[in-house]
Amino acid sequence: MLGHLTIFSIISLVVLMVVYYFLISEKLPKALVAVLGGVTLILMQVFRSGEASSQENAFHFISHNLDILGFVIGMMILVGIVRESGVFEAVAIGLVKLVKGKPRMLLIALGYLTLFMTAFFSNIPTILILAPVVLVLIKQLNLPPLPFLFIVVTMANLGGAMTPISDPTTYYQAKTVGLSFSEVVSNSGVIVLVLSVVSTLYVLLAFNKDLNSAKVNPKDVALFDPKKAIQDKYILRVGLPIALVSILVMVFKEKIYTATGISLDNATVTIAASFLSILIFHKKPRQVFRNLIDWEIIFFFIGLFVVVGALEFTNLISLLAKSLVDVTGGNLKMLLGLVTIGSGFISTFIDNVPYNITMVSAIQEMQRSGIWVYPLWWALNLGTSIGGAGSPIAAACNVIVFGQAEKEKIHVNFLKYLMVALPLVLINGLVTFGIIWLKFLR
Amino acid sequence: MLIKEIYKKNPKTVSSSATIEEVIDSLIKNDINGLIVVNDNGVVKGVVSLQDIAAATIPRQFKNNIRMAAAMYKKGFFTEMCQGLMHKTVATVMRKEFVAVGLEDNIMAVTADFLKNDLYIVPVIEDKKLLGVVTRTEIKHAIAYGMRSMHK
Repeated sequence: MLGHLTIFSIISLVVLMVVYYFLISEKLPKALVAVLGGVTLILMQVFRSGEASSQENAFHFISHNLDILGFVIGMMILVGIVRESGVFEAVAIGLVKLVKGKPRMLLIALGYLTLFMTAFFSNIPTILILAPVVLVLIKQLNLPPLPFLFIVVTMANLGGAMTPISDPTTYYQAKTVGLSFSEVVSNSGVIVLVLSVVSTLYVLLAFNKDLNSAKVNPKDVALFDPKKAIQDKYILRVGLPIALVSILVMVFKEKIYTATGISLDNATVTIAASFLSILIFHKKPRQVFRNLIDWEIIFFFIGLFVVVGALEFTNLISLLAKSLVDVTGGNLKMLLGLVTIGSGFISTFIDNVPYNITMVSAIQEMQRSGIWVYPLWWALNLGTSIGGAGSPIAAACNVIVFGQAEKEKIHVNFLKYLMVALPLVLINGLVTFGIIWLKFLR
Repeated sequence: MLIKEIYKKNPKTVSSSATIEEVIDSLIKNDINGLIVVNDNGVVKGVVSLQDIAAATIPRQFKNNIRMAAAMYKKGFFTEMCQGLMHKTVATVMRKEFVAVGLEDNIMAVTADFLKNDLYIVPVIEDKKLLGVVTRTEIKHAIAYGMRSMHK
């Protein structure tokens, strides 16, 4: 393998390792690391070819993925505006009242609310809405913190694999590979539902003692009034339908195309809906762009597209794909196991975004070499989502939840968390492997 | 107008080891909304206002979302939060990084500071000695004085 490395592929590998080092150690902000990595590769002429400059070829990896950036920006604005209505908090508070605050029912209700909100609104906005509600409940009802934080984090990560719009990496994979909304839901989404049951049962069992000691008097939540959480009725009446219509268009876009010949792509739909919302609700564009768009994530993706693009441009992806095939002898069952469980454990400790983007290219390369890779798409998507719940730092939404918890002096011990989370990563990984094997390889 | 013309002399102070309950009692008894916190040697260690104590009784999430506070009403929760706070020392809620002014500072700069940093009480310190305070009451009097001066 080493004989196939050129100087540019070695540079690409070194830059990737440096980027990963800084991502894992968190010594520098993610966006900074990714963009500087990308710029370094361009300046070192890694992308130069006979026909185009290093920059031109590098920017191709960004322009090819502009729709992902557009989709993410559109959703950030749309969800950010609709959130101002208070409807999501109202739903959460309504659920708490419905289950009368009973700890186990509350855990299940909050878990599934997180799962389904993530499926359509993505995990970071979901966590930003639900984490404050959960933290107040922990304080008000004297609930044990870890079970509730754990279920929310687990479901936010699992939910990211449910639909193409639930997570940027799922969307990237679906778009790059050409997987339709219904394909993702009927494969990945169905398995997520199974994993959600497995995870909920696991959490109820693992934290049985803590949940037994939680005593909640139904009177404590009897005076909760979800309607009072509504902040802006106009946004509720007009903004929520705009968001729901956008989601429905994204869900049914393939059917719309088949019926009418009109192609409605996700980035255009979300950008249209979000900018229309800015107009209708008289929002100041500058404030929206500053407050609702997480530019760090956008630049992080831009940088990663170039860094991982370098691996593809210098044929390192081909070498990676070939190595994986060689190690497993091209045996699809072994590849499936490696991708599912390997992705799970890798994602527990390192940021799954660069890993996911790299593996999508690697699996595409395997496909070009004649291997039937269809099951591996689900293995990758699910494996990285499963692993995302494996540690407090494995995913951005975990960092948000535990960061907010720290501010409330709720400290989650890293090792204690791993001891609870890692077995679930393994269990979910095995369940996923089993289902995919049964469905496609038996 | 300079601070030396409007500041309140002989300010009320509280020890940094005092409990929050004692601070609240002092605020009520003296009909004021802020105190200067000093150590055993009389050195100013911080400032504490009613706002700082009130902020500690409210979950952070409610401060960011008032509607959520209205929707998640639990009888007795406010009492629980207050009781959870009463035995803590004032050092846990006071502002340790505080603005201090001198006698020759001008009222406009100090008022701007009040507005920008959401201040309620500012110690007047010269040669490391606490001489007095400027609170919103002094700002109020300064504005009234300024208005009357224009009419003369």
